[in-house]
Amino acid sequence: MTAPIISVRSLDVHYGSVTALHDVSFDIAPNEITGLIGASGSGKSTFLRSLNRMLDHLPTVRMGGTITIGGENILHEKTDVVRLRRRVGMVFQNPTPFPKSVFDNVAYGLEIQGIRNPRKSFLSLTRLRIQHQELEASDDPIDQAVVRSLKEAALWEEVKHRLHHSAYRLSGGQQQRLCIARAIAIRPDILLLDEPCSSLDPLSTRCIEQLLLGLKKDYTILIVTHNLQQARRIADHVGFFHTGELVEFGTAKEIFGGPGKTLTREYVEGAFG
Amino acid sequence: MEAVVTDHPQGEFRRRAADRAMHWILRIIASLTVVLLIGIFVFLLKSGLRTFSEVPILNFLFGTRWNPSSFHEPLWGILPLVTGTLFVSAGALLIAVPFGLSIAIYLSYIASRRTREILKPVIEMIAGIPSVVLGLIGLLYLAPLIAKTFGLSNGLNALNASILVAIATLPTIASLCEDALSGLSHRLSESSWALGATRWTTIRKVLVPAAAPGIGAAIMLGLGRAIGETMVVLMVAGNSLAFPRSFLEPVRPMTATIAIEIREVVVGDLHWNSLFAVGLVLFLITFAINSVTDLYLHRTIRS
Amino acid sequence: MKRPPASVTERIAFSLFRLSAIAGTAILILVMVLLFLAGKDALSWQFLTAPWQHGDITKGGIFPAIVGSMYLGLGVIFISFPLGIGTAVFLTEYSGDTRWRRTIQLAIRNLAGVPSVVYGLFGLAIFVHLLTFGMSLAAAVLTLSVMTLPWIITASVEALLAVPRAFRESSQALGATRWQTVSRIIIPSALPGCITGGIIGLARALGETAPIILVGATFYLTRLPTSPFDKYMALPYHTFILATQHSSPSAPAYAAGSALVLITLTFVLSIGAILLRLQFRKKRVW
Repeated sequence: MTAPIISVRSLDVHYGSVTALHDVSFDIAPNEITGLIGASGSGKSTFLRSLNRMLDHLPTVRMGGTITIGGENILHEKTDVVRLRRRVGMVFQNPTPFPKSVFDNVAYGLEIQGIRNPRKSFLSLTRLRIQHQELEASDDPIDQAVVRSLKEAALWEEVKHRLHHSAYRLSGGQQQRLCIARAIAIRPDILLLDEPCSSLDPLSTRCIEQLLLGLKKDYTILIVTHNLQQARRIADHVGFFHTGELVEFGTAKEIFGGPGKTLTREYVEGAFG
Repeated sequence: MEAVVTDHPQGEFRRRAADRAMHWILRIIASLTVVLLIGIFVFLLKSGLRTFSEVPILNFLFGTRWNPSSFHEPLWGILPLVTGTLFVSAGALLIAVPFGLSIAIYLSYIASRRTREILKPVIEMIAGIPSVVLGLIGLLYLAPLIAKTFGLSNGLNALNASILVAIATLPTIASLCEDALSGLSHRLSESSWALGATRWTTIRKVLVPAAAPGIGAAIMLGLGRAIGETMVVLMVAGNSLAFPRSFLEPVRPMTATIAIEIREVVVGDLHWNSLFAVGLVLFLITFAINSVTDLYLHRTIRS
Repeated sequence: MKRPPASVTERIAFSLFRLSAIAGTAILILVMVLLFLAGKDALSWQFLTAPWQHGDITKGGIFPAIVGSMYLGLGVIFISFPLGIGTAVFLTEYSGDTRWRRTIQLAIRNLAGVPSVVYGLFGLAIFVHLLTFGMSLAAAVLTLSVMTLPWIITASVEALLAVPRAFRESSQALGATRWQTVSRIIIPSALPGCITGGIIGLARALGETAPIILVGATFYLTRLPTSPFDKYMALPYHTFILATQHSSPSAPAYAAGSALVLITLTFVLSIGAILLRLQFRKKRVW
């Protein structure tokens, strides 16, 4: 295994008096897809959200241990969470486009870094009139980032003629790919996905799985999923969580082939029926 | 992998400064509400308390005559004003509570969805009638009607004011009662029907009691509005400082007294201060009503 | 589940409930009709556009009172909308569940219950005398703004809470600061709701008479106000004086005419806001 990009050591998370995660330690290698599986309430989503400090907004949360990303302990109280989140992107369970145009959705992450959006649509009153060929040839950083991200998210061909349309006019699967495009527009190192396919049909799910397999050459991907086949299809490593503890972590082959722990075997086999 | 997005240290600094600054600006703006509430109280207190250095507080609260502008013997008893307020608001609630509750029951259990969607905004539109307009209706139409019905020389009295204040508080009571009744689970009425109860029994014995905390809160808030209503009582309550004994007599509630007298007094003199003291009493009454309702609702929600 | 059959008492009770609802609607219609009957003779183009004549009121119109009320409305928009929306944003986006937030909420509920005449006393003491604005537009605008503030906050809080949490999380996960999330995502999404709620509050504020009796509207003005510290006329005050303190035989008709203009103004604002809100809800995508 190459040098890990994320090292987790003795991570504890408490919500008030409830322990959500207890003593979680493992390493995640770069440019791999790591699947996190487990029953609901097992702590896998909590783990994912501690990687970009999205738990900070909950009032009673307490965290202990260390998570080292790129040599820096991100649980340190002096950590700049805004900068952290630019390095660690996140896609949520349900597609969450903003009520803006397709173009503006993807451009948002760059805009908030202070880069001027050349295609700013004011209250969706002004339309993006530019042709997609022109946009592809543009040397404006936002134009370039939008085109690149939409292409990487395998969405460009489907939306290049309606970049000015509201993101809500896209289908559910397209919306979720738009959210992936939005997340990768700012070029994070790590991409976190929290059950990204749970509200999608099988075809869209397959499309996103293909997309993730293509993206892993540029990004380190962590995906929480309750769909074991999905984890088996795309993950390189798999972590199995149960009641707040990481029971087992290994390659997908190990976990699905012959897991070392009985608990893991029961879960994997039980879910296979 | 080369980063397309470079950090702009200067812009970065500006964004963070803006974030911190806005946090504080919003915090200060929000604190304004607390400052205003305290400010209102302090100003009423400051002027109001000066009254009591010249008028003993018991004479003020329980004196039976209010006659501050008398040259020989000015009197500062607010009891007739308080009684006027009580007459009008009690009368208003006597009308508005059954009326409003009936509307609420109709809207939540009897009306079809479509009727409800039309009727609810219509009832709430009544809240949009400026009270000076209600007062005008009272002067022009209700007063002659009351005078004729009861054989009085004029119809400007507590009854007239009660009816109009009832109209003013009706939307508050009806819509809050409706919220309380609609908030009940559908299962409640179904299980009552399953026991063989009729719809009417269900409403009487199950639904209204279950919604009682909300209905109680609606009545309390309606009472608060009725006590604070100014224009209607100023225009149609009859403006008499005599101690009222029946609904057919003219009265002058606290709010009307403040509105009538404040423009005729010298700033800062005893009369001015005494009107602020009346305002203080009004403020404390409505504050108490709100707080009690609040506490009561919180307790019933928790239990 | 099938409803049980109705008894005779039930039929009587239910018809009473139905009757109350009809009566409630009738009140609204009755007020409008009676007002129109009383004021129809006063209504004319001249009534709406001519300056007020003190001697013979039938020679003049209520134009200065209409303008005064419009100024008051604009003033309230400029002061209480930003403050109200700002407070609501603090409550929903910044404060968390702290004691300070609960204190502010308690203050808002109590401010909403303070009688309007008490706001008048407060405005009189602070704005008219302490800050020496005199009986001017500025004093009235500030007083009405303070009174409207809790309504605007309540409406805005409701609109802000309707914005999905996912918008906040997605924006923050992209590395937006809180203010960026609020200013670029949350406020634009909630603004239609805040504004329509605010307009309904504004309509109520325009109809309020007691506070401006105390902080001093004027009944007769030879010229329109040109600065915030000028005297002003206002529709509700004008209605009140004509109805109660004017000796002209046509005063009641003119009072009803002014009241008609006032009620039309407030109803147009609130019905407009309600329709606007329906429109926004229909167009809303989330």
